[in-house]
This record gives sequence, C-alpha cells and structure tokens, in this order.
Amino acid sequence: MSASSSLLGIPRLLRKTVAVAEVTVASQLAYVGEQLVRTIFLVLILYTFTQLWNATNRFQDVEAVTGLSIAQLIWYLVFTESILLSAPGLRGTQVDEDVKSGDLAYRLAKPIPYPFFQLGADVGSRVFRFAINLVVGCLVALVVVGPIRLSPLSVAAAVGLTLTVFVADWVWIFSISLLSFWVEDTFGLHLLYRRLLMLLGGMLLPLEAYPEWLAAICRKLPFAYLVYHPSRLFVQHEPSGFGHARLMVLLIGVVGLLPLWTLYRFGLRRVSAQGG
Amino acid sequence: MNAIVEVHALRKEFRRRVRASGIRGVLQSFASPRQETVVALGGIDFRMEAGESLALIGPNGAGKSTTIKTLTGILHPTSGTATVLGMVPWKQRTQLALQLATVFGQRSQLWFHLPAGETFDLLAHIYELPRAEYRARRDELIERFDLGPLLGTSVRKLSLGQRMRCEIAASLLHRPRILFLDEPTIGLDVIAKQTIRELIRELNRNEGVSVLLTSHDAGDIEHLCKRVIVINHGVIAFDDRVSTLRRRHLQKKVIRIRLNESSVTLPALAHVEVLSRSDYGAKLEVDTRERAVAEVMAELGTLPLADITIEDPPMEEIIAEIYAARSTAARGVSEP
Repeated sequence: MSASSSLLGIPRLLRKTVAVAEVTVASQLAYVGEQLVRTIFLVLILYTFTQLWNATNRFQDVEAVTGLSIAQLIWYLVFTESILLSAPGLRGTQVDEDVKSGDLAYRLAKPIPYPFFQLGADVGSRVFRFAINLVVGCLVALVVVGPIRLSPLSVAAAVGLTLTVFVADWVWIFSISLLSFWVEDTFGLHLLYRRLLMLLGGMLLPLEAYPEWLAAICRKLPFAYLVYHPSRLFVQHEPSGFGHARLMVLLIGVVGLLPLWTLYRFGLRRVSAQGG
Repeated sequence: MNAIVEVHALRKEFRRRVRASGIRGVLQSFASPRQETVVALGGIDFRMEAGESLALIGPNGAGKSTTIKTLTGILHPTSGTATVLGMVPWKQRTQLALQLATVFGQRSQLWFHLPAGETFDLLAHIYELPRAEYRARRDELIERFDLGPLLGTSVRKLSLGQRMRCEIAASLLHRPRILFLDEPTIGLDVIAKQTIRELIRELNRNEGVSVLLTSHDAGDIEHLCKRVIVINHGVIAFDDRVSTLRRRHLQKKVIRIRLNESSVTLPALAHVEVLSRSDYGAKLEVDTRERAVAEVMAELGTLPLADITIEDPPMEEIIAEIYAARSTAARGVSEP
C-alpha cells in the first residue's frame, strides 16, 4: 500500500476508533456505581490536602510561595488527580493482558489495526473516568474550600488540552505495554512512568511551589505538559499559554509514535500461538 | 474446483527459553541463557475448496490453532507459503479480515457489560457496512439465530450457548467467505452443541460459506464436515473424507443386544469382547480384522433376542487411535 493511500485511510480509521471509544463509554456506564466508589480515594486526598495546606498556612503564607490561594490549590489538585486517577491501571493497557491471554488473536483478525482499536478503548474509558473524577472532585472542593473564580474560557481550554494529553499519554503507555512482547511483566516500567508524571509533572503541587532549580528542570521535561499545564489552565483567569502547551503535548505524542510503531511492528512477529 | 486456501510447506517454529528447576536453575539461566526450538508446524500442505467444510483435528499442542492463526495473518510462518482468497494472510491481514471471520470458542469478541446488539453496531463500523445493508443482515441473523429475546440482555448474563450464538452471528454480519471456527462448541451442553452445529451447517449449505473448523469433539466433525485433516506434532497424519477415516480406521463394531429373558448365558464368542452386561442385555465389541460381524450375528441369533443393533465405535476412539499411532512415529519432535 502506498504512503498516500495509507494517509487517505486515516479518517476512516479514526471514525472506527471513535466508534470503539463510544462503545467503551457505553460499557463503562453499565457500572457507574463502581466508578463512583473508586472516587473515595480522591475524596480522601482532597480532604487531607485541605487540612495540610491550612496547617502550613499558619506558619507560612502559602499564596506568597505558590502564587495560588489554598482554595485554588485544592481546585488545582482536583484537576491533577482527575487526570492521573483516570489513567489505566498500573498493569498498563489491555495489551499486556491480550498478549498473555491470547485475546490478541481476536483483535488482530479485525479490519482495524490493533493500536487504533486500543486507542479508542483506552481513551474512551479514560475520558469517562476523568469526567466522573472531575465532577466528584469539584463537588468535594465546593464543600471543603468553597467556590473559586473560574474562567469558562480557561476551563474549556484546560479540558480541551486534557483530551490531547490523554492521546499523547496513551502513546507512551501503549508503547510501554508493547514491551510485554519481550518481558514477562511491564508493571515496573508503568510504575516508573507514573511516578515520574506525579513527581515531575506537578501532581500534588504546582511547579511554582517547587525549588527554583527543580522547577526549571521540570519545565523542560515533558511530564509537566501532561499534568501541570492543563491543571494550571483550569484555575487561571485567562487561557494564556494554551497554544504553546497544546503544541508541546502534540509533539510529545508525535515523538512517541516512533517507539510505538517500532515496538508494534517487531512485537507482532513475536506473537506466539496460545493453546496449540 | 476453486481453491480458496492453499498451503504449501508451511512451517512455524517458536523459540522457547529453557531452564532447570529451582533457584540454581534460575541463576544458571541468567549466566548462560538457553533456548530451544519448538516446531509447531513442520511443513504442512493442503488445499481447501470454496464452499467446503473442513475439520482440522489433533490433540492439544498439535498445531491446529497455529494453523488457523497463520491463515488469519496473526502469526508469521518461519517458512513456506499460504494464500487465503488469493491473499498472503500475514502480509494482507487487514484486507483479508474484511472477507473472513474467526470464532474462538474460548475467547469473546462481544462487549461483556453490553447487550450483543451494541457489539453488532460496532462491528458494522469496523467492517464499514452501509447502514441499510447492515440492518437487513442483522435482522436476518437475529431471526435465523433466534436472538430476539437475548438482544436486551447484557452478554455477561447470557448462558454460554446463548453467547456462542451471538458470537457466531456477530462474525457473520459482514458476510465472510470463510469462517474459521476454533473449538466453537467447547463447554456447551448437548442441546446447545446441536443448535450451533445446525446453524453452521445451514450457513455452509445456504450461503456457501466455507468452514474451517478445529475441534476436540468428534460430533462436530461428523455433523459439520465432509473432509478431515488430522494433525499431530505439526505434521498432517490424515487428509481425506470423514467416511474414509471411519472405513480405514474402523477395526471394531459394537453390537448391542436386548433379550426377552433374564440371566441368559451368552455363548463363548471368539474375538468378541463383552463390554457390559445386564440381566436383559449386553454390549459386545467385535474385532472385524479377525471375525466378520455376520458370523457373530449368526451365533447370537440362537439367543431369545428382543432387539439387536450394530454401531460403529465412537469417532473419539478412531481419532485417539490415529493420534497414538502418529505419536509413536513422531517421537523426538518437540511439542509446542
């Protein structure tokens, strides 16, 4: 197949991917109660951090250090947690499971390339979990610290950027999962990637609260674009920096396509028959 | 005839890491990792004609699933050639997928938490079916597979037999020319097995869908296929009509008798084994290489018979015999 005909097929593939995402969301809706139970952890985190920030504020002016009020910090935390808690489990995407169980055979025998199928399934379920986390998180924040002034434009930009983040993040998570063609368990690699996102991406604190030298490093690394930037946009009064952040997130995703494509191409040759 | 599957010298090898047991074995495998080659397919040849229903049977690890996975493009062979509908499966997998369907008895393509109809709709997108054409086909399959009452129920609440009906219907939405069935009746009860077999047979006859089936169930083979390939240790042990398989390997007949009187003493019959005995009946097995069934019948005719029937031994026994024979011949070849 020529490169031009491959490119012409992309809109068709994307339509199939969206159809997979829609079915995934419908499937997640089937057990929305279970999803709500999972948000208990988010509620506990938000409550604990509210107490911590209030205690810290008695000794040092938090707003002077972070540039955000305690209420804004909690609303920021709502967004970072919603992004990270919506990520696939540490066992990675379905790929690990599909490779080990042999279900990959079913997926490969369909006229949709496996990565596109998995993109639809993973991003679809992540969007759903993100929405649930965000709604519950906002309700908790309203109760524990009250409302803050949110700009509709900034919120829209933050949500839009987050959707791009999900795709870029998926490219890297999927690539790590593809390593299961070679290694028994990708748990350690997923754990490492997730911890880097948490620590260097600014999950608990905005980068302004980091020591200057560390903040400078974090700003140059890709992790902050996947967590800090969309969350900072959420609590900002104007959507400044959206264009740059979006470009960087797209770049992170595009760069990740090279390891993904390479691993997928070589991984397919390692598919072994399960059960005879 | 028109060949839709052509396989020539198809070979598939896997590399497998081996290590001795225990901590010492693990440490040794770090220091000097060892691998062995497993031959899953040892260079098989066969053809399949359009509209044919062909069974691929063999014991666990014989190479059945490897064959199906290679023919659907999932596995890349080590050497040899194969074409399915004129395409090389591992090079044109996506294109080929539009014209074939696979049903793996132990796997599911249906979304577990949703009614099967939702998966049908998704498959219509994936196979790029025009809306009107899809609806007509879906309704036809719903009627034929009697899925109407099941469509509102999520898949997780269906019985295995009901789920399998949905699985097969889902795989037929795009009107495939070949249907690959990997143990489609595994785990099903007798009634569900019969239903599934009947549906597959209808498809083969009425729509001309070619069927390549793997199964451990001799009933599947007898009810669905005219031709059978027996594969063992990655090589073909038999490739002919099911009736030929029976004839060639049929060296025994089973005679059941029902008596009018109780506690009748059976005559001593040479080359006949009494498999079971009750007050009013008996089940006997005749070695037809040594003795004609007619002779045994004549001797039994002296008894006060109420009924007598002659049966072939179950297909399982015939297949087990072939496996055993090939295992002896192929000893030394690694099993996948």
